[in-house]
Amino acid sequence: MIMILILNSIASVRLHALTMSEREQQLSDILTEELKEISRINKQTQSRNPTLLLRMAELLLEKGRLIKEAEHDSYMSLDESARKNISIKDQFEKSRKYFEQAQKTCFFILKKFPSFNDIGVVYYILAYNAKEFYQLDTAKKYFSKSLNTTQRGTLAYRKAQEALAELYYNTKEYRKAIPLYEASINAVDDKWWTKDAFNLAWCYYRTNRFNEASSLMEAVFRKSKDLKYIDLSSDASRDLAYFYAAAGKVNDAIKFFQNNNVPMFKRLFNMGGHLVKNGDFDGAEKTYYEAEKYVANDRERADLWLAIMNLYDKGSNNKKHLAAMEKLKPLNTNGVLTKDEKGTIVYQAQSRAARLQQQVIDKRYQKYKDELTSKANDAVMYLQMMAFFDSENDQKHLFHAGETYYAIKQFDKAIQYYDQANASASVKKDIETMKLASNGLIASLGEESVSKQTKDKYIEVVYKAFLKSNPKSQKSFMIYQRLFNINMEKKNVKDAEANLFEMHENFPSSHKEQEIMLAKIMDHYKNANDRDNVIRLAGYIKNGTFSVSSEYSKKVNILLLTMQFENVEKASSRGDKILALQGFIQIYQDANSTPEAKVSASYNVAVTFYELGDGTKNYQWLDRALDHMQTADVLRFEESILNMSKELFDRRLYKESAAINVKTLDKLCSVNTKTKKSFYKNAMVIYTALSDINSAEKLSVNGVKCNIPKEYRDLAFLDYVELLERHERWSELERQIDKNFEWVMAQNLIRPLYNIYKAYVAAGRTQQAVNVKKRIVDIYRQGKEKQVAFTLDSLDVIASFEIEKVQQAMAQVTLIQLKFPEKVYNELLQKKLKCLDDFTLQALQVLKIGSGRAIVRIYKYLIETYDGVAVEIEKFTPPDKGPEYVTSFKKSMMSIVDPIRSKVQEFKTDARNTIMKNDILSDDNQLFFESKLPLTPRYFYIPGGIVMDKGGAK
Amino acid sequence: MINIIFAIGLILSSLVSCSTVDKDQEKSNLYYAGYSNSDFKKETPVSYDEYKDVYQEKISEDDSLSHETIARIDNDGLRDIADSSDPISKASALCYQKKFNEALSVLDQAYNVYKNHPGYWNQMGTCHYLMGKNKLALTFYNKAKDINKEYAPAINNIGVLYQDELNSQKALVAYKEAARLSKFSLTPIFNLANIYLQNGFVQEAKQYFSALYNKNTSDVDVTNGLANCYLQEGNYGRAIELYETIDSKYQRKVHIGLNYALALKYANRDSDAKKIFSKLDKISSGPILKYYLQVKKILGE
Repeated sequence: MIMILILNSIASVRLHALTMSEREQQLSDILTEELKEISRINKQTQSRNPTLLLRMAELLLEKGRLIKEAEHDSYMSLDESARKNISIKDQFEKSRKYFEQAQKTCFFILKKFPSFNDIGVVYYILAYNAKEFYQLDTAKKYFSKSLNTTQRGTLAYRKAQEALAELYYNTKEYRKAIPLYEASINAVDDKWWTKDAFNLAWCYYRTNRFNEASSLMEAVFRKSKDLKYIDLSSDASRDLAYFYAAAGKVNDAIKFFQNNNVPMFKRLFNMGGHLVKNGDFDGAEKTYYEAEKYVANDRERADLWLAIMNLYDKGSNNKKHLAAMEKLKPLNTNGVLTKDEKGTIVYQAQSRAARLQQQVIDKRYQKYKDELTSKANDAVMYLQMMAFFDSENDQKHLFHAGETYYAIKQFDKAIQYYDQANASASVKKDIETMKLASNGLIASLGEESVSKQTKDKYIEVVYKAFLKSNPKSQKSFMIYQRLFNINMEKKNVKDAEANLFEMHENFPSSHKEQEIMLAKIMDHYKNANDRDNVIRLAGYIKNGTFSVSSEYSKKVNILLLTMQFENVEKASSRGDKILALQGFIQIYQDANSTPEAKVSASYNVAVTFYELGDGTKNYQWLDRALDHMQTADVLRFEESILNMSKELFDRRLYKESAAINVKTLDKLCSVNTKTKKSFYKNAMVIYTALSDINSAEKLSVNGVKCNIPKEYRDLAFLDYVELLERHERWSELERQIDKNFEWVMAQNLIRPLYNIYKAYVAAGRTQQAVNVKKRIVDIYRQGKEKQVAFTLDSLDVIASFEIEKVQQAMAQVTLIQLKFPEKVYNELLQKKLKCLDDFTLQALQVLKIGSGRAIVRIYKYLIETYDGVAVEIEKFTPPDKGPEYVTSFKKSMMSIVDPIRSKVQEFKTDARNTIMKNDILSDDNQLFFESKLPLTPRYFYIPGGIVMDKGGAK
Repeated sequence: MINIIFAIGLILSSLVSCSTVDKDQEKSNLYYAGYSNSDFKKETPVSYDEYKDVYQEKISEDDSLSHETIARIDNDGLRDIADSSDPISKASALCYQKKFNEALSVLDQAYNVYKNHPGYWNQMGTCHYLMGKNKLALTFYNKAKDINKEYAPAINNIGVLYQDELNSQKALVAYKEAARLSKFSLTPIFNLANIYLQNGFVQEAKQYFSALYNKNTSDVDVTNGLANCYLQEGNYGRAIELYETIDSKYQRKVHIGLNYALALKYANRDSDAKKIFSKLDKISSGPILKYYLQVKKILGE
């Protein structure tokens, strides 16, 4: 009886111990007190009373339990680090001593008093003690012995029976527990019935005896309504849901719950959970959806959809899983979901998304486009969920959504998500994601399959944003060009131009790309006939802002020219040459005109005035044009320029013509062109005609420098020589001949040298004259050997030198004066005739030179000299001699005179014949045609010939 | 835009006197002021026609050469020709009158029409020759020759230039060439006759003078030349006959009258000779003075 009380007290203590520590202390004190008393009595009885020993064992057991609870509380109150430093053995040392003492006591009883009536209680204590030490098998053994040694129907038996049943129940040995519980509930219908029945129902359930389980649990539920029994209705109704679920009796469960006013949601919800645990996912799904009808608040709704979500997470149906998540969205918005719950959602979504993404990129799926798309769509849906439930990182999830679509080449969709990711990342200043999203956008927008709509919507903004944050990146290099092209397509030329300048600033060495961009803008302005802008852009090339290829530079110049001249040419082609002229002049005066334009304009103006016959203006503009022209330009127009220069001359604008010739020659100096010699020659002709010695000299020098053909230079040189002659620039003339003498021009240099010679003679510079004369003779002699064809002028000069000698010889003849005595006379006559012979020989040599004038002169000298000699001899009268002597003398002398006179006649005849034959014109001719008249008639008329104005009548 | 600018340009060009015209515009207008599109119309060029290359005017019956040259025409005759509608004839007359600027102006105006006409350039050469610019004259004569290589006047005139340079030999060649190319031209013949006679080639001279004389017996210079040839041959009678046909006003010219008197002397008509001699114009210098004195002596004056 005492034991039962104690056990009851133990039960009540167990129920309240944790909350009533003061009472625990009191109980401990009581137990200590009783233990002392029992020990004292036991000692007095010398341990021969097993009842006292049993009581002592019970008290030790109870005392140990109380101490252990305190030790446990003390241990748990420590923080984790402290707990780590404490030995479990030490911590529970005190309680263990009590348990060991109780056990020793029981063993002592079993040994000393094997026939003790309450031996079943001893086994019970040992079993309980073993249970405390988690020696469950030992505990089961002792509980069984307790049952075997305890009388049926007794409280002790029931307690042992219940304890063993519970032990089996706890160790999941349901089949062993079932008969114990059945016996218990059949034997006693007390308040504990509901408890044991409850456990028994579970044992049924665990052994798949679902119907028995549910029926018994219904009984537990019903009896719990009765105050006689411990109220386990709540647990029963809950577990009934499990049992119905396990039995597949969902409808029965619902019916039961309805009939018994049980909170529907909770039970159905739990039931669903139970079904899940049991692996009955379909049942769970059904139950959950049934439970949804009874949701009373957001919390329940959250629990439910979380459970459903978890349920679907076990399967492969993404759609349902996502749908569950979708249901959770508003709950999250309302703040119902906890952080962990959200974490779960995100975790599941992430797992799914990751798996799906992996499949999306898996090569095996690539050929199943529909499936691939479906998986990508699901992945993106999960990522969207993540973005929703993990809004702090939504930019990353959205970026991955974009990546998913990019992987299956659905760029339009990818772009949307990249854009969202970029926008969110921008707000959150997540630079890394911004960068990634931007790259994704750039890459996607660069794909051909992107729709125009998408491009129109995103590309510009995206590119601008990218460039703003990455002005110099490698990718930017391409984006500047793309953005430029977009702007050009949209005719946003100003923006395109801005792109070009940004490109220029950030990629200064990208000359080729800049040139292409510049060219597109130029083309636009060209097509729009927007000359101002074309000029403006060309200015950037001109000032070196843009470095373009020489080809393009030329092209731009041509473009400018074309634009400038287009209207002018139109005017010209419709015959409005004045308007064209005005246009050309305006182009020329335009400060923006390129050098090429100025060349073309000024040249055209010159040509126009040429056509108008305005030589002065033609010259002015041609001169201007030449100032602007490069050699290549002059080469293009050389023939025309030559014609214009000739016309200037024809219009008597001599200096102007010469200036054009010289300027053109200067421009063409370094190149080989057929007109060059004409410009040179024409200029020299003009300078010579105008007696412009200085200009002629300069031109002569330029002739060598400009590599003018030698024959042209030689002719020009001779013109120059003639000019110097005319102006009696003897020193310069001699210097030029010294410097430039060549045999090819020797025939033309005799006369100028002769004039130099005469000048020296006139100036009394005998030695210089002699030198020049010697030089002339040398040239003639060497020239003859070289077969130089000397001009008549030259021959006249040479002959004149020889005539000087002839004159000297002639003087020798006349110098000898005949005189007597006879011997002297004979000697003198001899000598005179000898001189005459010498003179004659010399004279005949001169005739061979071929000078007409010299021939006439020589014949004249011959005739005069011979005639003179004949006259002198004939007329000589010996002095102081008698007539006979004289007559005889004269007669004999006539034999000498007559042949001389015959010779005179012979010379005259030869002379006339030579003169007539060769048309030799000379003032001396008269001598050979003289009549016998006292005075030969002369013919005087105006000197020179008569100019002929016209061809005359035919 | 550009079209508009040009349109404005057109308007402005018609309002050139307006003060609102910008500076460049005004400047550009100045350049072409005075011209209109009609000025571009090409005038029909006059092509060379040898049958028309002749003085059309009836100038002088006494001048055998007057259809070819007006070098021997007096001022009255020149004035008449200066009124000619033919610019070349007009310029020629003006040049012989030494109105060179006026003459060249006439030629300049005729340039577009006559620039391919050898007569134009020949005349340009003659004007320059008469101005004493022989080098330029030669250039223009050559230009005439370049246009028509058989254009006798230019070749004759090149001969004249040679003769001026005392290069008679080259002049002779030129005259001969001119005479050869233009068989009916008289001036080269006249020049040949003169140059031959001046150099003692009496027969050659007589041949040419006779030809000229046969065409026109009233040309004093031709008659004088031919008479001189006869005189030098000793055919005084024929010489006297010819001298007698010369108008007395020309007989007074020394270069004619001296030889006329000499012919009369040699024909033993001393008193006639003296009579002619006595009527001669007075001379005081020049190369002919010596000859004058010699004749005077022969005549016993």
